[in-house]
Amino acid sequence: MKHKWIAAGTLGLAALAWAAEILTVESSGVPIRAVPDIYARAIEIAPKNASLTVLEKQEKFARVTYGDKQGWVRLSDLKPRRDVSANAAAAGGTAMAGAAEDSAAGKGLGSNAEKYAKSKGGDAREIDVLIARRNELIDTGAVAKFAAEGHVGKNRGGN
Amino acid sequence: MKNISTHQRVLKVAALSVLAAVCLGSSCQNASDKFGKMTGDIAHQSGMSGSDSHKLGQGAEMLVSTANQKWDANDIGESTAVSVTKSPGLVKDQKLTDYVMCVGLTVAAVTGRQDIDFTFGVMDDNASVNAVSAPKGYIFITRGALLKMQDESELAAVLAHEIAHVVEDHGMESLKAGRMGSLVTGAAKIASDNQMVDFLADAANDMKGMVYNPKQETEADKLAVKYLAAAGYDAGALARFMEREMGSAKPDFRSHPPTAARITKLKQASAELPAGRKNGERFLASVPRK
Repeated sequence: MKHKWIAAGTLGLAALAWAAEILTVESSGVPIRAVPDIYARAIEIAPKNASLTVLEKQEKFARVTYGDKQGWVRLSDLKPRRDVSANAAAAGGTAMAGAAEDSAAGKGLGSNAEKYAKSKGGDAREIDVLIARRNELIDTGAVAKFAAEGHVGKNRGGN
Repeated sequence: MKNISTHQRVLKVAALSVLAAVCLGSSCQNASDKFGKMTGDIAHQSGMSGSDSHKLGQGAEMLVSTANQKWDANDIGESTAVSVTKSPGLVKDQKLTDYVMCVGLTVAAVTGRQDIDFTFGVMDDNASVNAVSAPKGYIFITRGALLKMQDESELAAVLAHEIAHVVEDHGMESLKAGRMGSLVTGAAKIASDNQMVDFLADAANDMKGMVYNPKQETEADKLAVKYLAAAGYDAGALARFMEREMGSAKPDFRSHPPTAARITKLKQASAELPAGRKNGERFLASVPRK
């Protein structure tokens, strides 16, 4: 019987050790990419505060699951999960509390830059739009197409 | 640039007009590594204990905490970008912005710096030949600079030069060495939100009006040629653009390596590289000549 308790305890510890790490998306519209490369094709866009289950980590990327999708996200775009249940996360990346922040101006910028904009002027939203457009151009393959048409870029097929 | 005297501004504009690729830059991520070491070194020099020194160096990798306020290089980059929207503003031409973004991202892709979110925009300024770069990979070029260019490789060249400043973290290096050095290193404290905002405003102004030192410019030139070649663009484009723009130059380059010497080095560096693309037709179709 004693051995059974020890075994059960060991299994419990193992289960804890293997509990999946859940991280949340720190900024709006973070792409989940097919390979760990920021210029790689995006297979999904995770909204701000979505929860992602981490499968493995490399130097600067984490392989994650989000709903039925698996892909790579930069670790710098993720932060520790706050008030979300593992079940909700496993169910497919439920958006977290605080989504209302998304509607605020300057949502893609840090709080200090927002303070700066409010105090000194300038349009934080305009930079948000610029960033969103940048991500869109990459994620839709527009940049890759542009490079291919111009016979330039790191994957060009010759001049 | 409100904090720059008229005389300084005249000198700067003159230099920028000739050098074309002059600008500002730094990268928050790269900055973080150097920044951590930098503040760690400062702590060591100031006689802090090994433990405290270690904490300061590590903490500064991504975040500097001064009194109750915390900031990092990203805040300076973002504030600079926001400042650009106020003055001189960004053009509303989506096609033009997309084009510059695509050229910039094409070059940025060869840098190997996947950790930097390079973002490019066009400043609504037809009169100046200028570019601005800032931590977190924000890079802006004036429409006036675009109007002076003849093909896409020249645009790629100027953006490559800016990208190099970001990759090499020149912006934060310069801030550290400048009037705000004590705040940047954390030696002086920021105690309130108001002081934080003022600090970011000063930093943004410095980033927008910064003149790099000769060593930084030389490094950026060298890397720009490398990036252009790696991206398949004409590696001689930067030298060509600078040489053509020399015609309107005023002979004051105290803050820069002599332009002729820079051009000579650029030509030497690009001479043995394979011929790259200029993409003149696409450039002229994408950049309104007005």
